[in-house]
Formats: sequence, structure tokens, C-alpha cells
Amino acid sequence: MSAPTKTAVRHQYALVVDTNKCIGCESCSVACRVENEVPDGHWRSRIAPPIPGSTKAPMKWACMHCANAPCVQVCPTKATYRRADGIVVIDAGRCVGCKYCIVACPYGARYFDEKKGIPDKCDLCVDRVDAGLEPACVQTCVGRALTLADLADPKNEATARIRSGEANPLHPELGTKPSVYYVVGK
Amino acid sequence: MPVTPSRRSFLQVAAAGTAVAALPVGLREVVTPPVAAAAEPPGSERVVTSVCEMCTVRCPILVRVRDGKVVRIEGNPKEKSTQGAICAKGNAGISLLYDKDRVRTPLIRVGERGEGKFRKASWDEAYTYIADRLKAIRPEELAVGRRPSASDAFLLTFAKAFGTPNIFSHESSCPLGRNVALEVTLGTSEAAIDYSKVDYLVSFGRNHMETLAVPQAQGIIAGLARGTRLVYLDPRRTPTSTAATTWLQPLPGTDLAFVLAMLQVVIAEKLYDQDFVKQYTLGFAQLAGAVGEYTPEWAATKTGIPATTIRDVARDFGAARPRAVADFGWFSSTYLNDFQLRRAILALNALVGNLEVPGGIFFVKGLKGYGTELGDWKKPKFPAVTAERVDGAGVPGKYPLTPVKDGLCQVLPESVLTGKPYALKAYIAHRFDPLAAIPDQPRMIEAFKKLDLLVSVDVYMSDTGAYADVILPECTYLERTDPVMEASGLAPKIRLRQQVVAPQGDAKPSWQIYQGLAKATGLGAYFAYKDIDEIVAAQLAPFGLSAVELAKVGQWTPPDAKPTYLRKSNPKAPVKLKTPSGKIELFSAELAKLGFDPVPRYTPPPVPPKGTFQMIQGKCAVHTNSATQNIPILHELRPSNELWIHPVPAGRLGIKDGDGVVVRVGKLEQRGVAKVTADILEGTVFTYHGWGRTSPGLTRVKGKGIGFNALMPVVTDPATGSLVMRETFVEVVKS
Repeated sequence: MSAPTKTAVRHQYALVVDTNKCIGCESCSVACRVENEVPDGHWRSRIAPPIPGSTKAPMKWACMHCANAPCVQVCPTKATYRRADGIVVIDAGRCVGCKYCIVACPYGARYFDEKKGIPDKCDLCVDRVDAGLEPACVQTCVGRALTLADLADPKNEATARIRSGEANPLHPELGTKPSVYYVVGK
Repeated sequence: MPVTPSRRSFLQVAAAGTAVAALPVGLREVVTPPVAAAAEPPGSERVVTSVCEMCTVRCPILVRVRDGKVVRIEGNPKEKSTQGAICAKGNAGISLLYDKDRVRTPLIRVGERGEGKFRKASWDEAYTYIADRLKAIRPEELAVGRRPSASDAFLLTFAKAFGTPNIFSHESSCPLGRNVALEVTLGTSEAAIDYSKVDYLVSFGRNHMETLAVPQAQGIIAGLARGTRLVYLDPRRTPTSTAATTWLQPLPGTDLAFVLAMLQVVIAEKLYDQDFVKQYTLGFAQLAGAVGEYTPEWAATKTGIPATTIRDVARDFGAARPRAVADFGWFSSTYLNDFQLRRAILALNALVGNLEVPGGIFFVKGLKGYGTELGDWKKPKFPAVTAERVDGAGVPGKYPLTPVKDGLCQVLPESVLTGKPYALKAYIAHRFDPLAAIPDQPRMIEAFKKLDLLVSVDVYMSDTGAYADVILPECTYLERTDPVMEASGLAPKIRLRQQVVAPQGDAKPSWQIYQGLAKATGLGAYFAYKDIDEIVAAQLAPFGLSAVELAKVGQWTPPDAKPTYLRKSNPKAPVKLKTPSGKIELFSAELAKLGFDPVPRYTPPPVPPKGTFQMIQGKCAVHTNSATQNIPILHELRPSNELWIHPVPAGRLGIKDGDGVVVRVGKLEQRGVAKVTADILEGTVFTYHGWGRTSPGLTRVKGKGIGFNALMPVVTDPATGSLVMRETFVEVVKS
């Protein structure tokens, strides 16, 4: 079996999460789980609960598809790599299952898939995206809080939200340069 | 490997056109019995339009099948009100379909009732077992209870053919009070809110973002994004309070005081639509007289919400007319004052003249009004029923306002154990778990043990199923075609739930189950159809529409039927209501005659005795009532519930977050885990509903969490027949 396609199309994908529209319903979590046949007990994407007592909204939490990804840096076999379009994927054929990437990820986005023998994570539904469809989480989102942005497309509305600084990555101080951007606060 | 060739090929086909409209809707014709899984060649893909049944909302879906197996369910993007979204439950339908805990063959009890010991049986054996016992009783001694569904027609036909008046739904444990209030005030419960266009919405505990009817939630979220204000009242912080522009925490059971004060302000400050009130309502003077004393200052003493806040909300509400809506809610089995709360809310809407305008309340424009209705299969006339109902629904002097299609599902034990007015001897519970849904479980169990026959028709061995003599495995919504269902809103609309894959094991659809049971009982003439396809064809015949055409699109509106607001272009357009006066009845002569308040007045909720807590319940976004807690993926998301308790009383009781607790009412108790949180009022404790399950057939959820229902007595609202499920007080101790 081949690894996910290294697409030649010029795209630069990012995900915008509008926490004002997120109702924490976990629809995205289950859509992802079923779409990607994630094994029992694991999730590629979950809703992080708000801090108790705060008015902060819940938010979707998964792989941040970092431009400067620690998981890519630590991978001894280059099984984890970032595609030209910004999606961080795993070449299962090269992966030796050493789990360095699980430890390295500051967002806790990876889990070990015992069946596949690899540390797995969100790949932004790369097959769907390559086929011109939205990732499962975006497609199913009840609050329409999730948008797939293409930074290479200046007309893309979500891109504008990133460019204007309305949407921002989590923990920019880590220097990981994530491709998931959050709109926070009303 | 992360990617299979077959999946890739599906996606490439799917992407051939623009957006999702290009999904390859590779429909079979509606086929029964289904193509066996083995008949589908490896690598084959198809997508079937259907309708979800993970809750009652019935969102349209697209189901992707690969190699004869369901691999994914998505929302149908052709439905504007959901835009292709479905909730976590809808996404998890596959997890129900293939759950190993499902009952896959008829079961006949071999152990004691409740032990959950059964032997496998053939359908014929099960039918004969049931029929033999039914033949030994009088027609009215059979009762049937069900959660209403698109397959209702078959159980109802069986019950009517058998000749019993004792037909129940689960409604009296859920929206019945609100339905009756709508009937009395607007003449029909078929009314809805035009959420996406409302400018100012007040929600009295209707937790839209968590109870999650996707079309409603999406409408409100879209509204909020364009500046709609949402005022939300709930003693507990919820996802809706987070989304709301204003969240208020009233003392439980005092919402009525808040609404009465809003009425007082809107009337006293003349913020109402005087022309509308004159033309479309009855009893304004009586209403104004009744609410005169209910000032915001008075309401503040009841609700704990400052008078200035109440006055501000009332003023803003009046100023936003007619696109201001006070939500009349759904779950209303709460307090004894709930019926008048719903009446008062409907009065508030009437004052701002929001009826039949965009952003207001509208009547469902169904097929009946359109002039052409769905056909039906031919059946003989039902026998005349002479026996009275055991619950007094629709009977003067008993529960005259309770719709007979619903009845009072809580009366089963009363009838069985006291013989008043006579004893029911057989009960068929269809897709309904009275033991989990209705309070006073010990008495329900006692009644179950005394029945001659208890049948559970369900996908799982429910709590009730564990006490049944026979469990008949119904197949899930993905394994059956249902009769065409109406899903009308501003325009008439029909939808088709069609079979996607072959049933697991020996499970059967309702249309087969009740046909088989009827044949064994000598009532086969009422089920003289070949299969469901024949029924669907008969239903669609008046429209000249074929099942194949409907299946292709999943839903259909008559081409000449457009979304309609009766007062949009002409605010004085005649609107004939189905109330006795033909108007919105702010004052109800019918209620006066029956001895109930004809205009809303305040009745306070009972006050918790010292050392006890008010106990409230709610729904979480990933479960439906008590139906889904055992479904693997949903169970994993939320396997149990917790007792929410405020830090102040928790500190007093020495309870820390995560501690075990005992929740007690008299001798009854439930055990669980405390969640110490400031997100709940000090005098109130909360849990999510649906846990505390007892059936050994529910292997994952059995024994987990707290079931508040197990602690409650049966209390019935004399006005509506609805259960009262918020007036029980509990003691909490550390375990």
C-alpha cells in the first residue's frame, strides 16, 4: 500500500475553529472516529472541556499540523512528514513504532494504534481533502464552527480570518507554528 | 494501512462534481427483503438516503455502504435546516447497528422476572407464545406503550384491531404538558418557532445546545452570529448558557414568576401589539387583571433574579416585537406549575404579535392543509371499543385535556396493582423502557411481576426487557424501510427512511413483527399487505410519486407548496385557530369550566426541607433519554453521570470532587460520584438523565451512574396528566 499522496496541487491548508459557534456537542469527535476507523478507546479529535466555572467555550482539540512540528523533527525514520499543502501525515510503511512523536507532541494529539502498530493522529481526513471534500469534522459540525482554510486562496473567508489576526494558534510561544487557528471571545 | 483503494475510489467519485451534491447516490430501489451482504462484491460502494432515528428529531442522512457494511453516516446536505450536519448520536448510528449487545433473535424468559434469563426462540414460537396469552384476556386488558416513531402505525393497528383503548406513548414523561398548553391556547400542538429569524429569544430552560435538535440549534447559532440576543434561564451552567447573550439562574421551579412579571411589564408599559391583541386574542382584560400584581420586584423575591434584570428583559422583549419569541420548550414534566408556565409563555408571545410572521411562531403547514394526504394500506374497520381507558385520558372528570393518543404512561402499576378501574393483564412496550423512564421503579417492578404477559420490542434488552416474558428484536433504522413520514414545517414535506443493509441476526422491522403477531392472534386481515414497499407505494399514490423518486432525494415537498407565513405580507390576514373561540385563548373558558386557572396565576414550587436538595435532571448532547447509554462509541464518550453539587454544601458535607456519594429519598437510594462545581445553585443537585440502569443485557452501562427516576414517586399534574419530576428532594451524603 502506498503512503498518502504527496499532492502536487498548490494548496496551503489550515483549520479555523470558531469557539463562539462551538457548542461542545462532540459531533466532530464521532464523525472523525467513524470516518477514520479509529480503534476503541482512542480519539483523533475531542472537545477539550472548558475550565470549570469559566465562561470559556469548549473547543475542538486535535493535531495542530504544525509548520515547525516536533513530531516531524524527532521521527528517526522520517515516517512523519509535512506535505507541501501543510498537512502532517504518517507514512505507515516507514514507521517503526518508536513512539518518540507521541512524547514530543506538546498538544497531546497522538495515540498509539495497537492494530496498525503506529502512533496515529488527525490527518485532516487527507483522502477527503485530496478528493475535494471537507474533513469529516468540518462536514458534520453542528454549529458550523469549523472551516477548512486554504492560505493559498486569498478569497477564502477563513483565510481572511487568519490574516486579520482574528483567528490565532494555541500556545504560539512553543514556536511550533500550528495550522489550526482559534477564534476566541465574542 | 490508512487508505484502502475502495475508499479512495469512493472519494474520487464523490469529488467528481462540485460540493457534496455530487455524492454518488447509488440507490437501489426500495427492496424487501434486502440484498444479502454477501451479494455485494468486494470494493463496491453505495450511498443511500435515509432518515436518522438516534433521537426523535429525524434528520435526513446519507449512509455510505462499502462491501455490504455501513461505514459512515453523514447529514444530507440537501436539507437546508441542517446543512449536512448531524450530531454525535447520528454519527454513531453505525455503533448501534453493529453492537454485539443487540438482541438478535426472539427471546422467551426462563428465569424469574428481572433475572434476565432467556432462551432463544423462533419468531413463530414467540408469536404463538404471545398470542396464546392474549387470547386468554379481554381486549381492554392489553395495554401498549411506545416511544412515538415512524413505525407507530403497526403497533397502533394491532392494538386497535385487538380492541383495546389502552394505548400509551412516552409523552406524559416528556412534552405532554407543553403540548396540552399549546392545544388549549393555540388550538394545536403543531406549532414551531422560526428560530433562525428570531431577533430576541427567551428560553426557559430549553437547553438547545445540549438537548440538540440540530435544525433548532443551527437556527439559533446562525441568529446569534447576526446579532440575535438569547436570554437563557437555567439553574445550571450549560452549553446554552455559554452561547447565550444573557444567562440567568432562577431558583428551580420559579420560571413562572419571571414570565408573569414580564407580562406585567409588557402590559403596564404598553409594549404589546395592540392591533394584534384585539384581532387575534381572547381574554386580554382578564390576563391584564391577573398579572397586575406580579411586578418584577415581586418576581425577584421568588426567582432570586434582580427586578431590574427582569424589567430589562421584558422591555427588550417588547421592543423587539414581532421578532421576539419566548420559547415554549419541550420537556415539561417538571413542576405542578408547569402547565401555567407554558400558558403564560404563550400569552407573552401573543402580546408581541409574533404569530405567523418571520422570526415568530408558526403553525406547521402539513399535508392535511395542503389538501392531499398520504395514502394508507387497506384494512377492515376496527372493532368498536366500549371499555373505558384505565388512565382517564380524554374523560370528563379525570384527565379531559390529555390526548388519547398519548394517555398517562405512568398509570400501569396503579391499574395492575389496585385493579382500578380494572386490571391490565398484558403490556407490550415498543421501543420504550417504562422502567427507566417512569418514576417509582419498585412499584413498576411489582406491577411487571403481576402481569400475565409482558412483551418488550426493542433493539436491546432494556431494563423493562429484563422483566419481559418475550423480547422481540426490532431491527434498527438502518435495517428497515418505514412508512413515509411527514416532516412538515413552513411548507409540507415528506421523508423516506429506507433500508440500507440487511438486519443483523434475526431482527425484524415493525411491519413484519406486528403482521406476524396479528396472524397468530387471528387478526391477520388488518395486515393484508405484501411488504413495506407496497405500503410506501400506497402512501405515495395520491401524489403520483414513486418510492424510487422519493428515495433518490430523500425528502420531497409538493412543487407548488412554498414556505408560508400567514401574516407576512398582511399583518391583519385572517388566521382561524382551532380553539373554541377561534382566537389565541389568553383566557380559557374551558379551563375555567374544568376548575383550573383560566388565566395564568402563580403557584410556588415546594421548598426543599432543611438538609435536602432540589433534584434536577437534563440531557447531554451525546445521549438520547435512556436509549443510547450502552451504544459503544457514545458510551465511551460519556459512560456515566455524576452528581453536580455546589462547593459550599459539598464542603459542609465533607464531599470533595470525585468522592462517592449516596443520594437518598426515604428508603430509596442511588450511588454515584460527586462533581463539585459552582456551575449549579447551592440548594440544587443535578445529574444527566438515563443512567442507573439495571438490565444485564446492557453490559456496558449496567450499574453505572445515578438514576434519579428510581428515587421519585409518581406525581401527576391534574390539568394535563403529565408527570411531575422536579418536586422530589434528596439527601446527599458521602459514601
